[in-house]
Amino acid sequence: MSASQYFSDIFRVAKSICIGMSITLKYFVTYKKNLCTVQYPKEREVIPPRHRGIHYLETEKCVMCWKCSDICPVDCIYIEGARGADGVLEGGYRGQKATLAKFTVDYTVCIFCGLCEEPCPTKCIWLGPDFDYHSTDRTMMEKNLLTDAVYTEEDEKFVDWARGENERLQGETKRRQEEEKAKQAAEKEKEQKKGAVEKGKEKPKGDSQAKKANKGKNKS
Amino acid sequence: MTATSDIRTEEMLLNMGPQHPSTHGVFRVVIRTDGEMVIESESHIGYLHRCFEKCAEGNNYIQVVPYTDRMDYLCAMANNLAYSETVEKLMGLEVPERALYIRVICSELNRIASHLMAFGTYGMDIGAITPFLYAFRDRERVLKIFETICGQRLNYSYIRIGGATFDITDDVLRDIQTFIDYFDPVILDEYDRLLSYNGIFISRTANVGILPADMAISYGVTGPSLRGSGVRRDLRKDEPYCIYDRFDFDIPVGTGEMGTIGDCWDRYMVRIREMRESAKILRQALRDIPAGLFCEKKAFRAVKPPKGEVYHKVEGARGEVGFYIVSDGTNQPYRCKARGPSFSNISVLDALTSRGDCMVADMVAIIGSLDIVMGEVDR
Amino acid sequence: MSGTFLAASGVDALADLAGGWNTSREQGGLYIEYLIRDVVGLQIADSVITGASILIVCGLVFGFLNVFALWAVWAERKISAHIQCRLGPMEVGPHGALQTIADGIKLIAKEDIIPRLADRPLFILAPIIVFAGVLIRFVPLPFGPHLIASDMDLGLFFIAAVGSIEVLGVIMAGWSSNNKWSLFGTIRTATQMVSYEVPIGLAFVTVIVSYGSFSLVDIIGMQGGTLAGSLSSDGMPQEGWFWHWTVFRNPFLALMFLVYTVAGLAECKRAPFDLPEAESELVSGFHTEYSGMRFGLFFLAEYGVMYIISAVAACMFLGGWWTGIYWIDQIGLGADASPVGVVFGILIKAGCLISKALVLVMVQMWVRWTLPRVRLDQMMHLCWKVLLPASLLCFLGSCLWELLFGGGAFLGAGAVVR
Repeated sequence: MSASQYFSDIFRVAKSICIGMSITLKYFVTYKKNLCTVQYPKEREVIPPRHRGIHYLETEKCVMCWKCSDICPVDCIYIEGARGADGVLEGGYRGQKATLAKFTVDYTVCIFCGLCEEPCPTKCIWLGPDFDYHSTDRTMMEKNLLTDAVYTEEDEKFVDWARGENERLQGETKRRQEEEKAKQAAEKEKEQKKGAVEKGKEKPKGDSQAKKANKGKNKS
Repeated sequence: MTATSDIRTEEMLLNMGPQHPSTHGVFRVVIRTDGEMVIESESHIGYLHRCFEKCAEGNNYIQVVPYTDRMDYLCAMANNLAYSETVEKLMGLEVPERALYIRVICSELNRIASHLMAFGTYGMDIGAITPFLYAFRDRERVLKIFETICGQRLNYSYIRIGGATFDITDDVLRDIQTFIDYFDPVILDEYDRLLSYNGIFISRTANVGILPADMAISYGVTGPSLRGSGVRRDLRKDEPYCIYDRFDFDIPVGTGEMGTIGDCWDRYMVRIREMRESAKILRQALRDIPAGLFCEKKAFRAVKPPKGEVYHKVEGARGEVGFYIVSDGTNQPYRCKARGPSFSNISVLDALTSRGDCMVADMVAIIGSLDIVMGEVDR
Repeated sequence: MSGTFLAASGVDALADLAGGWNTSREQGGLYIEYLIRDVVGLQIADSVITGASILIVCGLVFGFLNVFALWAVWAERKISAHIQCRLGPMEVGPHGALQTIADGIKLIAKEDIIPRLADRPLFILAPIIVFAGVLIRFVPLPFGPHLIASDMDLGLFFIAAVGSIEVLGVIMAGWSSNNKWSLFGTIRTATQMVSYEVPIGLAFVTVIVSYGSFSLVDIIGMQGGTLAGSLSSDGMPQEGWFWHWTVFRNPFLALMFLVYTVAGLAECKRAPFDLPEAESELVSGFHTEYSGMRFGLFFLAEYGVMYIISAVAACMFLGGWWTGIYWIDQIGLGADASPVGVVFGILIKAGCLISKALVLVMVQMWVRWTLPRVRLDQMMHLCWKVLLPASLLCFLGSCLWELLFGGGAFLGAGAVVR
C-alpha cells in the first residue's frame, strides 16, 4: 500500500464518518418534526375504511347460503341454523331469510384474507377496523358474531339444543307432511271409490298430484 | 520446547442455528472455522416448510391466492401477480387496462418496500442500527398506502385472478405521488451519505463474497444478486409481462465501483438504484393510468381453467418468481409448483464461503447481501 | 515526581502550584482520611478512621456509578430514539426518567441461570472481577477540586495499569460459559482491549511528559492558566482562560485527543468497535449466558468504563474543572475567599468537570448509533497501523514543540511558565 493510498484511505473514511454523523445530528435536533411513532394505547392512528380486521355480521341480512364458509381458504367460519324465516327455531337469531343458531369465526385460524366479503349476495359480512382482538386462552379466540362476544360454553349448549331442535322440528314437519299426504291419498281413494261406485271405473292417480306432494316436502 | 510446527490449532465447528439474529429467518448454517476464517459451511433449510404446494392442491384457484402471499411475505404483490397471471394465461383471460396499471403500481411500490427492508436489515447486520429505523420510517409510509388500498399491510391478497380486488381512488394516487416526491431525491441521497458511502461499510462489504457471473448463472441466481455480478438480466425488460414494455427505465448493474464486480457492495447498491428506477416507473404509471374497470368480475365467481399446463414468471424483488400450474379441468389445481428465487440464491452461499477467504463476520455480510426470505426458500 | 521535566528546564513555580491543591499526597491514603484526621481533627483510633473512610469512599464511588449508570442508560435510550425519529421510553416517570430503575428491579428479580456445563467458580467470579476493575479506576479520578478518593502520585499510571484486570474478567466470562459463540467474543475482546491499550498508554505518556506529573489533579491544576507572569504570589494561577487547556497547547496534542477518543471507544467495546458483543453475529458475545444481576454487573461496568474514559479525557485534554472563563473560575480561589464562596466555587468546578465528561459520553453514544461495526482484521489494522504511528508521531511532535517553543501555547500567547 503506497503512502498516498494510506493517507487517502484514512481521509476518505474520516470524511464519510463526519458526513454520516451530521445526518444523525440533524435528526437528533429535529426529532419532534420527524416523529414517526405514536404512543400506542393512549394515541391511536386513523384506521382506513378498507382495513381487514375482525368480522362484523349484519344478522338480519344473512340468508345462510354458506358461500363465505365455502370460499374461506382455511375453513374458519362455522354456520348453523335454519333457512326460511317462518319461525322454525325459537330463540335463534331471526333474520329476514334465515334463522341462525351459530355463526362463529375462529380467530386462531382466520388469516384475514377478506375472501369471505366477496361472494356474499347480501353483503352482510365484512371485515372491520379492530385489529387488537386478544385473549389469554386459546379456547376463547372463537368469536360469536351473533352476540359480538366470545363463543362460550353456553353458546355451545344453545347450538347443541338448536341442532337437536332443528332435527326435531324437521322430523315433525316431515311427519306432518307424510300424514297430510296419507290423508290426501286416503281422501283420494275415497273419492275414487265413490267415483268408481258411481261410474264403475278407477281413476289412476295423476302425475300432477304426485308432483304437488313432492313440492310440499321440499318447501319444509 | 516444542517447535512451532508442532503447535497445531484445532478447527471449530460452529452452529449458526435456526435462531440467530442475522440469518434472515429460520436458517441453519454449520460452519467449520479455523479461528475467524471459515473453511467450509453447510446450509440446512426446511425450518419454514408449510406445504404450500399441497395446500394449493386442496383449494380452489381463488382460495390459493392468500397462500401465495405468505411465501415471500415481504414482496407479496409479486407473488400474487405471478400466480394470477399464470392462471389467466391458462384460462386465456384478458384483464382490463386499468387493472394492469394498478398491478404495475402495486408491484413497484412493493419492490420499494422490500428493498427498504433489505437495506435496513443489511445495515443492522453490519452493525449500523440507525439506517434500519430510517428504512422502516419510510417503509411505514408505503405500508400505510397499501392499507388504504387493500386493507392489509403485509399479506395483501389484492391482485387476484381477473384484476384487483378494489379500485384505487384518486386520493390514494395523490398519496403515492406525495410519497415518491418525498422519497426519490431526498431520502435515497440521505441513505447514500449515511450508509452506502460510509468508509467502514465499504470496507466491510467491498471485495467480500465475490460472486462471478458464470457461477451466478450456473447456480440459477436471479434478481439483484445476479445483476450485482454484472449480468444484465431483468424479466421486466427481457420477457415483458403486464405492460412493462410501455415504461422507460434502466436496469442497474454492478460495476465494481468500490471493489470487484459481484461483491456484496455491488449487490447492495443494485437494490438502492433499483428503488430509484421503481420510482421512475411509478411516476410514469401514475401519469398514464386510465379510467375503467379494475377487474373481470366473472373471474371472482368461478375459475375453471381448461386442461393444460403453463409456466409463467415475474420479476419479484428477489428475483424470478415462477408458477407452474397443471390443470385437470376442475376448479382446483392438479399441481401447483412455485419457484422461489431465494431458494436458488441461497444455494450459492456454501460455494461463496468455502473458498477460504471468508471470515465469520463476512458470512453475515454475504447472507445479508443475498437478501433471502425463508418463506420463499422453504415454501 | 512533580515538576521534574519542567524543573530541568528551569521552572520551580510548578512545585508550589502542585502543592496548592491537595496536600494529602505526601501522606498518601484516602483524602477523606486526611480530612477527618488532620483537618477536622477527630480524636479516634487511626484504624477506625481508615476503615470508616474506606467504607465511605466505596459507598460514594459505587453510588456515583449507579447514579451515572441510571442517567447514562436513560440518555442512551433517549438519544438513540431521537436520532431514530421516535420518542424512547415515556411510560415510567416523566419522559421515562425512572425507566432504568424499573430495568434494574427487573434484572434483580430474574432467575439466576448458570449453565450446567459452565465452570461455576469462574462464571461467578468473572462479573465481579470486571466490575472491580472498573470501580478501582475511580480512585485517582477527581470529581472536582478537593473531591477525590485519593490523590495518588501515580494516578494516571494506576488507571492504565488496573484497567487490565477487566480484560482478565472478560476472558474468564467467555471461557467459563462453555459456549463457542462466547469464546469467539472473548478472543475478540482480549485482542481488542490489549491492542488498544497501547495508543491509550501513549496518550497518557504524552500528557504526562508535557506536564511532568502523573497526578490528574496536577494536570488539571496546570491547565488553569499558567502563563508566565500570571501566577499570584502564593503560586496560584491568575488566569482562567480556555486556551490554556491541553488541546490548545500544540496541534500534536489536539491530534492526540482525537487518537485517544478513538482508542477509548475501543476500550469501552462500543461501536464501531463492539465486536466482542456484536449483536448480529454473536448474539451477545462473552455475556450471552449471563442473566439477571450478573448481566447487570457487566452492564454497569460498561457504563463505568465509558465514564472513566470520558472523565480522563476531560481531565487530561479539556481542562478538567476549569470552565475556561476567568471570572467564574476565580470564585472561591484566593486567600480572601469566603467559605460560602469556596463551597460555591467547588460546586461549580465539580459540575463543570462532570458536565464535560457527560458531553463526551454523549458523543460516544452519538458515534455508536451512526457507524457500522468494523471487522476484526480492520480493527487490528486501525490500531497497529494507524493509531500507533499517529500516537508516536504526536508524542514526538509534542515533546519537540515543548522543547522548541518552551511550552508556549500555540493558540494562547506567550510562554507557559518561565
